Amino acid sequence: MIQVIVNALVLGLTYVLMASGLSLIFGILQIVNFAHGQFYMFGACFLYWLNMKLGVSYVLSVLLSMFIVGGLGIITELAFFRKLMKASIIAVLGVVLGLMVGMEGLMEVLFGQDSKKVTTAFSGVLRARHFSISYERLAVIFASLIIISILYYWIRYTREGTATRAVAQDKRAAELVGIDVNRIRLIIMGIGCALAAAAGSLISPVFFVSPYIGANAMFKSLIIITLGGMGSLPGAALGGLILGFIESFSQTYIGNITEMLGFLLVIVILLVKPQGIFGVAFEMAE
Amino acid sequence: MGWPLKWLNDKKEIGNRVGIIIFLFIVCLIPIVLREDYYVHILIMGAVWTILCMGWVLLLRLGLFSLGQAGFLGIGAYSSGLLVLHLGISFWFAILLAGLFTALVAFSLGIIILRLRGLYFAVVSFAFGEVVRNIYLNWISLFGGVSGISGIPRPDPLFGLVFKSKMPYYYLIVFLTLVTGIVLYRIDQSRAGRIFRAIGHNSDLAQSQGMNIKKYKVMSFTIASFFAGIAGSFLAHYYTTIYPDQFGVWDSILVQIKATVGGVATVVAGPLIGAVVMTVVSEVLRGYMAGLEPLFFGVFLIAVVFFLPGGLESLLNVRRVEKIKRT
Repeated sequence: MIQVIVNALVLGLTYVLMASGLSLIFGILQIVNFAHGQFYMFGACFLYWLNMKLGVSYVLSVLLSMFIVGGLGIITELAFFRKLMKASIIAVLGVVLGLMVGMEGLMEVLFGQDSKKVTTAFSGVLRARHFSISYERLAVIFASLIIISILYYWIRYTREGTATRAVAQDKRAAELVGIDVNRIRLIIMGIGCALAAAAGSLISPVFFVSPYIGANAMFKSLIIITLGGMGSLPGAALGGLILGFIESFSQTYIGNITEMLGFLLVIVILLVKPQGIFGVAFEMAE
Repeated sequence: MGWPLKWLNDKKEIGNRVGIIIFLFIVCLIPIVLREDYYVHILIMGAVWTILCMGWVLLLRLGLFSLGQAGFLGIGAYSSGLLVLHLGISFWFAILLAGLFTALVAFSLGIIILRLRGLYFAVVSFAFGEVVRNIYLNWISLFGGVSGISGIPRPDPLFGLVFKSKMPYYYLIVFLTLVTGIVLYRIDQSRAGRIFRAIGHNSDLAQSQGMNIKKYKVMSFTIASFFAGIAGSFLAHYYTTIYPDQFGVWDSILVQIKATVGGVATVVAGPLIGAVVMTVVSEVLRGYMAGLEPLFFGVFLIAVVFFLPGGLESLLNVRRVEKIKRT
């Protein structure tokens, strides 16, 4: 039972990381970044290269991979998203889906089609009377919690964080009081993609790394942000944990029906409360 | 029987219509000239994609950006395959029933999810496609899990066409594509089509003018899915083996890529060009290296959005003709 809960937390917290990034990007850029799953996959692939091929230590590899993918996010904003501010839905989604497909293809060429395993830096198992938990899973949980707390602190108490919330609430008003919206967009693309990379690189020792892991992660984060309300950070957090628990418990006790349950949940939420659990407001819960 | 003459008698349209007839004539001659099964196969796939893309563009008219069309293709394929395998009915009934069943699923789903606006709809339709695939994967007793269903019978002979080589399939799918094209074109040009555009342009305004947005959205969603189901049924009896990964997220995105690359100004020309060109391209690329195909598609799609917003069809000036027609 405790093992199932730990698994749920491992999954749930990585989902929270991933979905927070997606939600932030939607809140500020008004773009559903379908390529977000590929940034997650890039994070995992860079971790594999750094850690397994170049021999960089695991912790440093995670940080470097977040840094690199965050940089790629910023480049994406500069090269593509910035030019789409007033574009139609078909142009916006065209570019985003083009990125999604193209990034997967690029990694297939560079990384190869095979799944590869990252050996964990935290080997060993924590044993108690009724359960045993591997340290790598605990490490994922702690690392995710740390990153989420930093994100929370940043958005709640720093100047940029406040500016970000202002832009999410009302872009024009934010511009009027002198906030550089373009700069906030850059920062958020960097942070959002770094969060995806964090999720990908943290979870990679638990699962495996391949160019195809992005689509599934993307699918789940979409379910999460629809559940929680697009653009809402508490929504992403709650939705991520809900999906993590559903997945862990259903896989243990019923079978692989996470996707269906998640989708059913979305349908129910949409029938009852079409804006998602936390609505579209971006405000952190007061 | 006077209507073909009347159809050709319209002075303003005569150039276009003669063009269409010549085009159809060439289309019918192609497999006889090519004689190579592989090329005919590529054209068959191009036609299947054309049907999907045309439906997708019809949805786009209402501002509905669907990312779940392959899901409906799969529903059509599986329902038709199962109907023929287990109930033993003829393919020619099954294809209709599969279309109707797919339309029914789309109708009931549409009532729920078409309350959503733009991006939300895109997200949920994306999720829907993935969920359907998961149902096939996990309901093994009915859908056969990963390996899917095999041994689906080929269509019964009809009018002397025996479905043993690729040729009869080719003429069947050309016929289906033609019917889809005519129906969707007529809808697009009708009053309903204008209402679709109005909703896509500004749904609040359309609603304030007394249009029942929900009704038209469900209508277009059902129609597009009906044809996707028909195409799926065709695929099932063409491949004779179907499995879940044929109808995944990648295929739904391919529909969008092909239609966008072709152009969305018209409901027929753009999807036709995009689907055929991109299907040929993907067959060419697939042979070289894994990953090259998605990489190229991604880059090409982005390039088209930025540098050729009208899609490939705007190169042919079809769009200009459309504009003249409307004014």
